[in-house]
Amino acid sequence: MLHVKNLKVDFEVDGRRIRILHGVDLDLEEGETLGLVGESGCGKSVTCSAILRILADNATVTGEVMYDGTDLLKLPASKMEQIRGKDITMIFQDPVVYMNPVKTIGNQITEVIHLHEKCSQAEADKKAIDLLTQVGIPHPETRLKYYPHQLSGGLCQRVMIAMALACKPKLLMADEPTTALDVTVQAQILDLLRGLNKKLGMATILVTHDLGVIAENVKRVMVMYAGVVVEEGPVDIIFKKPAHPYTEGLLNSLPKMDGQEGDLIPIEGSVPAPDKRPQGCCFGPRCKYMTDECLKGQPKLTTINGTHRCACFHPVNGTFGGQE
Amino acid sequence: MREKLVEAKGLYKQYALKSDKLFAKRRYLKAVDGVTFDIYKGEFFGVVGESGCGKSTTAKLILDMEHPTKGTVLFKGRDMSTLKPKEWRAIRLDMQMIFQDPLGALDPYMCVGKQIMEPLEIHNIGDPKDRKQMVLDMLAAVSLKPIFYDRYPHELSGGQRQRIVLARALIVKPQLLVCDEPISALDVSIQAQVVNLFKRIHKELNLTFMFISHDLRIVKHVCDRIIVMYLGRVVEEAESDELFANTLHPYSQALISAVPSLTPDAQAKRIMLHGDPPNPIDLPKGCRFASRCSKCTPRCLESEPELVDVGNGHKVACFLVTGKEGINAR
Repeated sequence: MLHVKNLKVDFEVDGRRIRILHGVDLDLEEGETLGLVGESGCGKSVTCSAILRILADNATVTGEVMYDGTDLLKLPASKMEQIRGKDITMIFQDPVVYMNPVKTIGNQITEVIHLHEKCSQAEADKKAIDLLTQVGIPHPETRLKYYPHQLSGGLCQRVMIAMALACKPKLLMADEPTTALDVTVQAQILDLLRGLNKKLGMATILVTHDLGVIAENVKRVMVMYAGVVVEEGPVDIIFKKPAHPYTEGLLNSLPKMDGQEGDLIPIEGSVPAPDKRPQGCCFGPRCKYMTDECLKGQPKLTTINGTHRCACFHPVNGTFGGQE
Repeated sequence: MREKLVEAKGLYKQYALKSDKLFAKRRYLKAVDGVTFDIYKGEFFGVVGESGCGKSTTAKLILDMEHPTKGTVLFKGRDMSTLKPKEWRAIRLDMQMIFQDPLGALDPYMCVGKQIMEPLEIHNIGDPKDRKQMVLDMLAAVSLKPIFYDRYPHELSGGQRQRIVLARALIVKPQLLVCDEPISALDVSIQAQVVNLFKRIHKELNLTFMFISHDLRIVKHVCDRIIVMYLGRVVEEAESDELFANTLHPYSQALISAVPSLTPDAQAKRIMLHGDPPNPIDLPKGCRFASRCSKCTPRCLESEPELVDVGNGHKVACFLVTGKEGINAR
């Protein structure tokens, strides 16, 4: 359904061009759930924004984003507007920021409906009530008249999801949808997203830095580091047998809930700034297994086993048990 | 018997709300509503709970940054609020704090070495000639190279900034370090570095930690004893291993089960809470968790359970666990 090829994004800052995304390939089947995971600045949000073409003006996007046989990057702006919000929608980390504070939530939901469909206000209102019921908001009729500040963070995120679902999208991109929420509310929202994905059959891209959220909610995962996809594959394989040293490091740096003693194993150093990338493999300087070969260039994603692919000259082999 | 470093006795903190009408009845937000606990010397003490449960306010009360509406805090057996300014300053030196956002806690126009030195100057500790060496030693203790002395906060990464804040807190050799969400703003791989540093320092300096976090993974990993807070009250208190192995309060159970596991498809055991916590301004009668509790009984709606010791220092505030004795335990 969605085929992204060699997606590159450059930002122009102070007259310099800085490359943020270094050629990302992404394929998504209909109804599939895909996780994008990585630390801040690794380019996971930029990937989604580039697909939807909502990046700031100083960004240059090259590559190919094929959706239903058309290249979204080549579409005129007016055509793109019809796809954005209808076929492909996105929800964000901080729902309150993305809502209009001086409009009721009912107004904001029906606005989306009116934009993409022809219907009367009464019909739109009815649809909005259905949507709010669908996302599990109690008393939807009265809540329509509420303003965003009258709702809690969890409820706002539900309203945001309702807005995203208004036109029955085929693809939902969720950019850190639960990062700003408490764990118990996070569990509710993720449960809701899982349910909707099954019920409506829409494809979902879940962007998060939380490996736990990935493990439980998607089937396939892509691990990103410094604008590069370093590993890709089915969740159950990657969490049991990570092949890239970075993925292994991420898993090792999380405390296990089953009471493991001793110190955590952190990844030394920190993520390089986009304009100060190391020579060769982008993860090289932080990698325990670095050799001279790693300085030669950025390794390409290569198949390890079936759909499990990894961009590393010396893939590691299953040092994480994945057992809780 | 272990020595108590901090004793919080029946702490209440209410904030008066602005009202629209001049003579309207004053309304109060009850941020902390009857909290009692002890922190023992050398302990890694954890406080967990969701946003708005009063964790940070409790920390401020312990540090005497806020004065409790009711109740007392004893630090080393002395009531902070009754001390004269001079004594207060001296005793305050023994308690230091770290907050979530290190950039907000650092002066952008001062090199970090000077910032670490500042507490020494203020409290007149050590010979001025030796101070630079003390700062360099401290930098080494938090695993930073001496070249960082002349750097400014914007030149550092998040993890390095948090190390600087830690160095500044430790340079006065405190006995208690209060950390309010110290690693929440850091990336996963950096979190592990800082957590290991906390553990090492705890061991080496025999420091007492009060560690506030919403991240149960981290809390379980580092803390010896934990209190779970909900809407301004402690609902459960236990040794870390005991709390996770034998969780008694329905809220703690839900909270722990809500932590995403690293095993794919493990959501089956999850206890799903419905709705949001009630508003701390108009609290319902009875147990404050009742509205979201799946095991709620009529009695839970009438009176509020007290924190009762059910053995081995495991305390819980729930009628379902404590039975009748919960009522008159105050």
